[in-house]
Amino acid sequence: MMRTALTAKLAMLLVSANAFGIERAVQDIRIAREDSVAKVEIVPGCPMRYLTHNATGDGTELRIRLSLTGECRRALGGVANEVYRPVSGALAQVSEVEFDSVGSWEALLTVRFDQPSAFKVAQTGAFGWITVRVDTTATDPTRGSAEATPPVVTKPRVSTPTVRRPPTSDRSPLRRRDRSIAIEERYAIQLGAFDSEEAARSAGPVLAPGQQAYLVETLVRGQPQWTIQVGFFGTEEQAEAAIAGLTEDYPNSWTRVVTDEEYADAQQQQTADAQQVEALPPPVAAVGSRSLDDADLAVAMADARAALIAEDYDKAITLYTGVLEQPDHANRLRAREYLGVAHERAGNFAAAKSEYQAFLEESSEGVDADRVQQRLTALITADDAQRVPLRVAKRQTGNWQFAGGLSQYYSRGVLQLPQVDDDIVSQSALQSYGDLLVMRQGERFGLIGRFNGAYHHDLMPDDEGPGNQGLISYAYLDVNDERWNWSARLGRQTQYDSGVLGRFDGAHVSYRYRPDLAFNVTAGYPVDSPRYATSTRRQFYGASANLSNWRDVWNFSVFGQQQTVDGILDRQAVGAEAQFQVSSFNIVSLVDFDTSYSVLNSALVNGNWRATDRLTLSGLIDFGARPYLTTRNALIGQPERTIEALGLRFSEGQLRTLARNRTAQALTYSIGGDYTLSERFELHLDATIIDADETVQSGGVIGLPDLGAQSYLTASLLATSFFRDRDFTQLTLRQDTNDVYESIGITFDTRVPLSDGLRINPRLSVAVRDNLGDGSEQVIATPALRMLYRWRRNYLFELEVGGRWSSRDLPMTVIDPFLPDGTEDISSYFLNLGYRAEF
Amino acid sequence: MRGPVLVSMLAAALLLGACSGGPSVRSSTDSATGVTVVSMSEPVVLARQQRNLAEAARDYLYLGPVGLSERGRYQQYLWLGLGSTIDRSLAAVSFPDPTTVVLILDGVPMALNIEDWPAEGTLPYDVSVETELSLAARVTQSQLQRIAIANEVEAVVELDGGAFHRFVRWTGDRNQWSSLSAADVAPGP
Repeated sequence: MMRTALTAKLAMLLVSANAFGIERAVQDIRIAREDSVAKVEIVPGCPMRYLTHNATGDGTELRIRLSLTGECRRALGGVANEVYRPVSGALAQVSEVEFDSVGSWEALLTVRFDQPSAFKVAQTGAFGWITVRVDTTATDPTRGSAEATPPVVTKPRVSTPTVRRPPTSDRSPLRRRDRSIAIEERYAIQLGAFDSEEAARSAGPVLAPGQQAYLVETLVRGQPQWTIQVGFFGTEEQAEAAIAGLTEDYPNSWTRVVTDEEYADAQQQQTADAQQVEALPPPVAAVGSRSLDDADLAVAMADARAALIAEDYDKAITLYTGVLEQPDHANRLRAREYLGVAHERAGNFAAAKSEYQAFLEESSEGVDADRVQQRLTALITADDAQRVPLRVAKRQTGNWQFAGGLSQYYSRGVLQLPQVDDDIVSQSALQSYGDLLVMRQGERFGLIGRFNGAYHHDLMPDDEGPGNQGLISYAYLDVNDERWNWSARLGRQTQYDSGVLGRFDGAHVSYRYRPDLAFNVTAGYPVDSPRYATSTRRQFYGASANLSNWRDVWNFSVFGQQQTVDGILDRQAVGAEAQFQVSSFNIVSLVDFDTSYSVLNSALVNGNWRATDRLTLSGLIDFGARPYLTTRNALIGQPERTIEALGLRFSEGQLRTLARNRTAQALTYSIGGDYTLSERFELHLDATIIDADETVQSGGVIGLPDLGAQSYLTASLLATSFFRDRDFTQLTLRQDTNDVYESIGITFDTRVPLSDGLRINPRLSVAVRDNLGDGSEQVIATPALRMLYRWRRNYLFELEVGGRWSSRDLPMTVIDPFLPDGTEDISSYFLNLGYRAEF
Repeated sequence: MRGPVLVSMLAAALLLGACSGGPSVRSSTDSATGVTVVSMSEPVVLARQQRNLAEAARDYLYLGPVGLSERGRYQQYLWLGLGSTIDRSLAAVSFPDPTTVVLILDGVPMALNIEDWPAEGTLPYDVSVETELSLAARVTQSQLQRIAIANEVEAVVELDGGAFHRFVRWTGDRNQWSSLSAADVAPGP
């Protein structure tokens, strides 16, 4: 035995070199000492993971709970007790180390000390050594117990061992015995949960002798919940017996197993604030503790906003949290977002993330959701705690935030016709796209700027292609004034409500009079295509009002709009929209009536109902004009390109008659259902019938006949993890019936992840068509293969190749000199190759 | 004579009906460890839709009671299996690694002390979607009863950094959970 002095820097190394055989749970026990601190390293013989530890009250026994891996359990074969008395144990006042596999996958490692000791426990190194640091100067039992509390040691940490393996073992002979130690478990009763600590304390129970009440804070969706616990019981049966007298006052109670950490924390809590459960005064009324009406909520939101601006984040957090505790109301999402902002500015990044995610859970679409997603992304990107989708990767510079991307694709299409020997290049173009989103959220004003444009460089020979084209889909600036509750969007934008029929260059201004009531005006120049510059030939202006969350289930809006084209009335419409939404049922209705033509442009009812957890039904009835009736419809079939030019031949009244004659009335019915067969399979069914009437011949343009009812039936089977883990496969059957053709087809589409970042997407569609016009039969096959590869986080490469083969058997009555065998074969191929880069 | 026969047949039918309507419990013994594992026939399934990643695919959380018996000692656990049918390969999003799991039973939280499911490769339940993570939480009979009678059950899975995922009820029946007991342990060979 080596003799050491207590003041030696490194006094002794004592290790066993014995038996690397896996049959032993404890491979080595190493004890070293530096000054007054001794280190006991217990080397496991097989992988096991530290769970918790606790100490006896007098500090003479340390119990370490371990989790055994499957390899360890197999190696130990269910046998499970080893006791060691290291000769050098005196260095650390250790008298005995005992290993006991007390359950199927748990073990108890007990370190017994000669005298009360203070210690810290950790799991270290790649091999999972259990390290116990012992303060040999601590002989006070209280100190020993306190030092052993979990907060210091509950998480494993990594350190480099400072000892080396000695040549001989210092371990005492191994002693095996049948397992006799049972798991020592403690039980408690959970009585109830509260939103605040004060409320939980005020609801404390009357305790029986020997019982202890304590609180446990649990984060639920980022919000703290306080549960009252009553402990401790040695058996589940004792806890069950005790709960019987408490269920009347606490119906939501149950018994539970208490972890060692919780037990230790409860002891500390008892020491710190014994008797306070009943002694605390009732909680101070907070925003969330009473029901607020709309006016109160508005005041609370304003106060919270003021607190946020004043950088009083604690107050802002309190107020926003209180607002969120109110039942559903119009401010809910905004409060959620700003609560996240308050947490973020206060440095509570985890809570901020939770709030942003909660927001996105409730609302994942729209400008607000985009903004919140950007906030969340900025947070996540900042600490790189979690990878994010490429599409939403953002960079934040001060208060300004930027997001966007660039992409370029080369597209080529080739057509093969039976009448032509050479291939015909139908498309060859380099398409470049750019998207930029700029945001700034100030104390009062929020700004959003967006540009989305493209440039198609035509690589076809002269005059064979469409030529070079520039496109602008979006180019607008959005300003939001938080103080006066108005917002404006200026520039090229798209809108499909309030009577607006899509893309326009102009302005949309909104004023929120109350949280649930907003007034809007919109004016501008309609734009048919992104490739068109602003044209002043058509102009519109309109106004609308929105009432949201009326009686929590209704949303309403009404609008009026007038539009002119080349100086004459193009459209004059009034309308309304209504939405009814409860948890499992949603129905939307819309009416758009042109008062100048006295024509119903659209009367639509669309609903869906989640009938059961597995079944969702949907339905649509839509009656109205096809296309939407505007005076510009008079251009249909005419050689002139503008109403001004057509007006040279027709009067205004005649133009309006022509427009009415070019416009049909159509009725559309659609019903569908989605049924979930299992976690991996879904069935979608959809049936749509469209019945359009005829149009009237006039102005040299023939009328279109009544096409009769056209029906479209679709059945899709969706499968996930079918061929390979996490793939997605869709098999669709479709039948189309109209007065031009009848066809039935099948489509197979699968997306298979091959590795991280690489996905292939083969698909094949085959259809058999009876052309009713000439009685021919046609088979069409459309195969394609798409490959996507993501490189790093911001780059996506894409290759897609495909084709379309059509074979049409002409009827005997049709003679075509180019088709001597009576079969027309047409083939086409396409290729898309490109990349996307996002920032 | 016909009366007693009819009564007997009716009683037998009722008995059979009661038996067939009872909980379906599976029991098996691990030959390596000698531990007997008792479970119900099917777990309940909670799901989390992520429409930003996939329309028809979801993350799934399987929950099922498990009884373990070893040398006469019986303990109950809640098994938690996390799986997904969402392809995250292009989204550069890793599968969530939970730190804590809280069940919300009719609005009341039940925090679970989770640990790794130790029986690598041996799951107590057959599930439709391959599980990425298999976890276990020690629970009492009282907790299983409370879960069984709850009208609404959802799970909040907390992730590193404070983020969380919410799983809502999907399929499965919890009614028989509380009937799982040590009595279901099949006698050894």
